[in-house]
Amino acid sequence: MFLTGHGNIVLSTDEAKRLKTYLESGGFLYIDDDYGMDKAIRREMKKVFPGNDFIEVPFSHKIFNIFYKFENGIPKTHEHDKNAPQTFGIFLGDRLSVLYTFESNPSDGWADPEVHNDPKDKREEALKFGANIIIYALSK
Amino acid sequence: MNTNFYKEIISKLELLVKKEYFALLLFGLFAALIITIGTFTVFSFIELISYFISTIRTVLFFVFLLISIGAISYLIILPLLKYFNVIGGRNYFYSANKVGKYFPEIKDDLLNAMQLVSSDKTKTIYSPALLDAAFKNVYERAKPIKFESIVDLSKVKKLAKYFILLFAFCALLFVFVPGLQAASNRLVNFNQEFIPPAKFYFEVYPGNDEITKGENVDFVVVIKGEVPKKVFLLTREESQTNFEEHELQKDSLGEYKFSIQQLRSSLFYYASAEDIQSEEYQIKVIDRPVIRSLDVKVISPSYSNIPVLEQKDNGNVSALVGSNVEISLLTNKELKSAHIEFEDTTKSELKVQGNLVKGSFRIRKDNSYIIVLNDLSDNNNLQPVRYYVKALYDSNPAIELVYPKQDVSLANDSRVPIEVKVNDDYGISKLNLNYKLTSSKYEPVQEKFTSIEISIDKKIKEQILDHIWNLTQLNPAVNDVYSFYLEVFDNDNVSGPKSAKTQIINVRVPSLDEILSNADETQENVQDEMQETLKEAEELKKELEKIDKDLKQDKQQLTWEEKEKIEQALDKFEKLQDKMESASEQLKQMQNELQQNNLLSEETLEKYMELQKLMDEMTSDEMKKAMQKMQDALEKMNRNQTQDAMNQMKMDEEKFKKSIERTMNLLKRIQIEQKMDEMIKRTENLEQKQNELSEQTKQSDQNNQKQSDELSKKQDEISKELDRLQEKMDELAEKMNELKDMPKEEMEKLQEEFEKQKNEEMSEEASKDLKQNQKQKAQKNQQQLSKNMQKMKESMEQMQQQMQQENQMQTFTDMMRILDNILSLSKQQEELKNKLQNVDPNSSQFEQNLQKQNEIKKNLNKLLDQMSELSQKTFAISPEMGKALGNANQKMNQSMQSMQNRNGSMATLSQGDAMMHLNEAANMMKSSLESMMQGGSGSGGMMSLMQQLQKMSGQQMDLNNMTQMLQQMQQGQLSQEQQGQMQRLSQQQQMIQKSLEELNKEAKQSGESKKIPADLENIVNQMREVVSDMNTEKLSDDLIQKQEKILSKLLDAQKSINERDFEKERKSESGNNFTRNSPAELNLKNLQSKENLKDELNRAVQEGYNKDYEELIRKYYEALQKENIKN
Repeated sequence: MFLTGHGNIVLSTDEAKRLKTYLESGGFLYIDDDYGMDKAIRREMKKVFPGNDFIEVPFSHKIFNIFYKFENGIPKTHEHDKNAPQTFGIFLGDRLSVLYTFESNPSDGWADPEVHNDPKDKREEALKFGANIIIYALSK
Repeated sequence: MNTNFYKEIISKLELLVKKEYFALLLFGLFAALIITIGTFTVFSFIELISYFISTIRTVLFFVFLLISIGAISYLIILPLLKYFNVIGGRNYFYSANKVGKYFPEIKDDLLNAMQLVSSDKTKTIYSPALLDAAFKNVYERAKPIKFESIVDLSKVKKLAKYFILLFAFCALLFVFVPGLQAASNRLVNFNQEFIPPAKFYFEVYPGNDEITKGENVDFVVVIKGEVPKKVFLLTREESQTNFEEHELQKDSLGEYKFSIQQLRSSLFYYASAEDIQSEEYQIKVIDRPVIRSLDVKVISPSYSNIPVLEQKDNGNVSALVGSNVEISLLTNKELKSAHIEFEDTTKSELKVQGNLVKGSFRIRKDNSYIIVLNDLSDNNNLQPVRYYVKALYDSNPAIELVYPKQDVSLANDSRVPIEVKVNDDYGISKLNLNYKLTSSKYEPVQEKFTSIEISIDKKIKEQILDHIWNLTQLNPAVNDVYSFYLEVFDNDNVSGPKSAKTQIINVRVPSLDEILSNADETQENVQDEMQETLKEAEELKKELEKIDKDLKQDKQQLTWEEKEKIEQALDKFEKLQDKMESASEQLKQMQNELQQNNLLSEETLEKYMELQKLMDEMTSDEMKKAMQKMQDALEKMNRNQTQDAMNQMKMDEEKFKKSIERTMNLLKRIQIEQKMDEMIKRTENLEQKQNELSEQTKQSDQNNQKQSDELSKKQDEISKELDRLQEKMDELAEKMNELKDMPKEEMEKLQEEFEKQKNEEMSEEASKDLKQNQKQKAQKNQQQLSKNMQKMKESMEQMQQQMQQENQMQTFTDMMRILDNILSLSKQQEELKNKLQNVDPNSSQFEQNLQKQNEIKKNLNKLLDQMSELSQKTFAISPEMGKALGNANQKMNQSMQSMQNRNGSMATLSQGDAMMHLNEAANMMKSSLESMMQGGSGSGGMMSLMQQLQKMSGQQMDLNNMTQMLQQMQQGQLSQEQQGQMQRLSQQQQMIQKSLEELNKEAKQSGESKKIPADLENIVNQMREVVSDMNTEKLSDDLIQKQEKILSKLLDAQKSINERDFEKERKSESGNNFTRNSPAELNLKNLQSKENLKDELNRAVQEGYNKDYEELIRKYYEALQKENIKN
């Protein structure tokens, strides 16, 4: 599942429950802040997994090298608040079941070139990271 | 013979002998004692080790006795007898000899003397006198000597020491050697039989004890002494007759353990090993009352809407203060009583019905409690589980003013849009808007706030509300300041609703003057900024030219200095663009404010919008792409690429500079138009004010001086405004003088007329007349003034219209001319192209055609200049037209080059392209002319849409005001007349709804609807709702708010058209790469194990374990939580 946007997101109790079932059954959720969603995401995911926190994923994790290598962690596709890009995850066991990218916005790099007019290398980088996400999600 | 001397000597010798025997006695005593004690000790040891039977002990004892007696006899009694001369007799000669040997002064003289004296033979030989004399001589020498001093007691002393040592030693032995005393006792009681002690003994735990029925019992047996091979625990329940044997195993501590689970009846037990048994003990089982099942129901206060929580076998409660906790439990037996005991020692009795117990308590604070049960035998439940009550407190609500965040000016429609965010953990009961007048020229300020309740959905805990605060009813005057804040209350009906407030915002009613002065200031600032930017752009152009020149040097790689210079130039260019963006933003805000206060005519507004578009194009994505291209080239340090990019940048910079110039010139023109609008508005305003004042003067009481003074004051203000009007007219005239084709003469005439009218003097006179209560005289002047203002307004409107028409005509004419010229050039180009086709490369026609092409090009350049000049006056010339002609020019250059190279085919190709671009420009020109004829400069469709929306907004505003007035007049049910009025208002709303539906339909058909961000259909639906409510005669606050929201949406629709929110491309900025350290490696196991443990524990609790386990589980869980918090 892919979730992105900016501003607010609200999950009803039912929705939170269903999302939890999906993730616990092996599902994968990728969240990309684009942007201003951080507070809402953290709040809503607590409804889904009250006992789990977002943990920053180290660069050695498979998500950064399962196909393409990202030695410096997630690439910074778009500028938001001039902070370093970060990758957070919620782990169920040792399985990364929710991936959340912040201050990086790779999904904007996946759009058609004329939408954001990003340089080619930025878009390629973003697409490569996207490939890693798909491969990780489907192979775990 | 003197026998006295002899007796004395004998007695001395006797003393010696006695002392000798005394020493011997002492010696013998100590020796005997040593022997006795030693023998006894040794024999005791032997007995200790061997544990003899009576016979052997008897032998031993008697041997001991024998030895002792023997020792005593020989060592004590014998010397004693000798001491008392019972046996042995005395041998004084021997003693005298001893003395003689010991004392050298006597030697054997004493012995000799004694022998002489006592021998009968010597008595016959020697004379008695000689014998006496000889004895006396010895006596005299011996008299002072103590004969007994020769007795050596040192040996006795030594032996005494040995005796003491031995005695102490033996005493210690008897004290500290276990069993020695008993052995000696056995020895002494030789004829008694003693049972030998066991090899080991048991220590058994818990010994005798009392437990509650069903509890587990752990037995521990400790062996003291020699460890037997097997150890058993024998148990027998009360009902059983025989003991059951259980073999025990030793653990690592050397203990033997055994457990019995859930003992239900009393038990007797003892430990046994080989033939040795411990004492018998009893475990008494008491059937204490025990909770079998516990049901807890937590009923939260109704306002919280928290559903009833039911818990099984878990008395821990976490709930809101005010919640009621109902307890129902079943015990194992019938009870006498039961109660809850809280941490603070308060108690709450529970109802007992057999083995069912019920009760309840209310949560007021954090607490803990135990449930105490008391059965019919007065047994209590042992160690009742302590349950914890966590009181949750209803938090305060939160409120945040999203808009406005700071003081605002009141718009012309007297409405303040408010956006507020409220939330509470359990719900909201009320939201109030509190306001008061804090500053006014005409009215006294209010001390207290007036409160208006804002309708809110009480079911939603977190919401963002839009509310339009309509101040029309308050009749705000210019410079009045209203302060307001919002206050939200939660629905806590246990402790009482809590509230939260926003900050206080001031709403000021700006004067016309203020708004217009601000607009003037903004425009002046923007023009100054643009002037400065233009200057900087010129400097940048020079820099770029220099850099370009350097780049053309024949080097392979770009140098670092060159790179830096280019980067600096790029930076400067970016900054210039930012400045223009900022200027554009300022103009936008100014335009909005003027528009909100109806201070801009449609034409002027349209022109501002066109200007905005122009300014937006200055920071277009095309330019950004070009700059990025330059950045890329610089990064690669590629000279050629950088050169190409530099050429483009130069062109862009030139274009940018020209755009600034054009913008400045157009802004000057627009400003003049805006000033004209201002004049019209001022005169209109003055006319209105004067009319109002005339009316007030007419109705005033001449004799009321206070009233007259007030009217005079108002007239003075009009005088001031007239003065300002004159000033502004002069300013306008000055601005007109800066430009050509301005109606300067008409303006001069207007100024002259204004002066001729002497309006200011007339007003001052009217004011004086008013003060002097000369009402009629004043009214005459007032009426004249009104007329003058009306005339002035009409003249201005005429002048404005004329100017616009003339300008438009001139533009039209100029454009027609340019179009004509373009078409002519296109035709010439076509002819030339045709001529050149199939021409031989060696033909001389090439030179002729080249000349012709050059002429065409020169004419095109002239055309470009004309267009450029025209573009300084009108928006009708778009940049695309210039680009098309520019492209045509480029193609012409290419064709000329090809012709120089005698490449006919290439030349014709370029000429074809040139023609195409000329035709492109011509088409654009034609479309622009057509739009002008329709009555717009290209955005005619959108303008008409906006005009209609504006009209509808006005109608809606009036309707809203009337509806509110009707609501105020309503007292309970509507009267018949009011119902009729309501019907009419409903019809009006329906009319506006229909107009909007039509407008929406037209917009869709024309394709313009895509450009409107506002959802007109949504507004139409809302209008339908309002109509429906009005038809059912529901004149509620809800209806009023719906109407206000409709108005707000209509205004928003207009605003967003102005702001050109549509077709705005998403702005995004590519990110800069970051290099940083990786976050710490994951420790999922630790995290997971804790999570797993928590889950397991939770599950365990839910599964309903034994009370003991539950307590244990709960304590462990708490410790885990504390650890988590610490981490």
